[in-house]
Amino acid sequence: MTDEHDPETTRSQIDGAVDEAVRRVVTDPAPATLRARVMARLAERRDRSAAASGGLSWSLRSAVATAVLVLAVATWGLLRAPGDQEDSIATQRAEAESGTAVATGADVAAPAPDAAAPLPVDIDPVASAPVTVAELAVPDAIVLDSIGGLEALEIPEIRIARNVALDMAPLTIETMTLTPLGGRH
Amino acid sequence: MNESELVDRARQGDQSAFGELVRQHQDAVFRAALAALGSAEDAEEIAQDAFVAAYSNLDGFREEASFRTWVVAIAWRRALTRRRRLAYQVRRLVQWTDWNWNMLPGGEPSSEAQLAGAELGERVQRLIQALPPKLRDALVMTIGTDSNYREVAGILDIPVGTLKWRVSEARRQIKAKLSRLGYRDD
Repeated sequence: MTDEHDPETTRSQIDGAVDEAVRRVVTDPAPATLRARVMARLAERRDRSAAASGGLSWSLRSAVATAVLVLAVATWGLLRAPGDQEDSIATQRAEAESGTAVATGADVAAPAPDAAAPLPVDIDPVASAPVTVAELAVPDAIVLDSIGGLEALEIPEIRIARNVALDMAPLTIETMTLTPLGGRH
Repeated sequence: MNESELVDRARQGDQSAFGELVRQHQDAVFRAALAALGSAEDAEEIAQDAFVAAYSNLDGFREEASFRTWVVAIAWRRALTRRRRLAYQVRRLVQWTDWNWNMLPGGEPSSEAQLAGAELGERVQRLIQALPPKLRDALVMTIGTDSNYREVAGILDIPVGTLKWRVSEARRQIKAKLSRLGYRDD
């Protein structure tokens, strides 16, 4: 206490004892390690912050990749005219009948799609992989890179792509890109 | 480099400047926490927390008070929060009789006067601990820290007049109890 002690306080023996007792309780200096520990905690926080910042960048990159994929799929869905779908189905049927279709695994024995039947949305990748892959207007590399981040999405095309990539291990990127949107290689 | 310059540099990320602020005010912060908690171990932990929080919130320090008063107030609030926790109170009750008795005068008693003084000091310490928390906080913070009434009132968030009354009342209660124990205020 400095210059503003209560002037009415009497300086008796008991007052002195009270002051002394209080000082004995609370006037120990801070531990010598206090400053070092504070600085260590600040350094630790700085390191964690830097690490978190790096993690955020990774998350951001992943989110951007996913967003690009979703945007591409949505754009493809909007731009793809109904006539294109019919042409595509017709093309595939013709390819199957002529034996020029890309065939992998079970697709070798798969019957040609029925032209009258609507294009299945959640199509079985084993039975109809060429159709779904052929109609996927998304760069395959992005699809494969982003598979892990698409689990919660319910966009049919993405679900198909995921099924193809996950369930048909022998199906390679090269196979998938043999029949891109808009025609064959 | 004065305090304001140190604060400015610390705000810009200069941790060495903040380290200097810690060095200058660590005793005051530690003592405030010790006054509230009575445990050196807990007080050091609270003091660390207070400085880390201060560094994180330097942008919120408007320099209306000194840095010292600001960071002591942070420590005080955190110490009170801990003191209010039920688990902490239970633990303190168990340790109550050991509260800082190691700080009592030690060494070889050389005379009856020293013995009497040590005994009085011990009794006073026990009476301080038995005070209502508001009175004890006011007394301990006022006498035990190098702060004036205005600063302590700011830290405790009470008017200066209230602080003075609490300090005076704490002294009165201690004197009254000592009187009943046979001590006379000559």
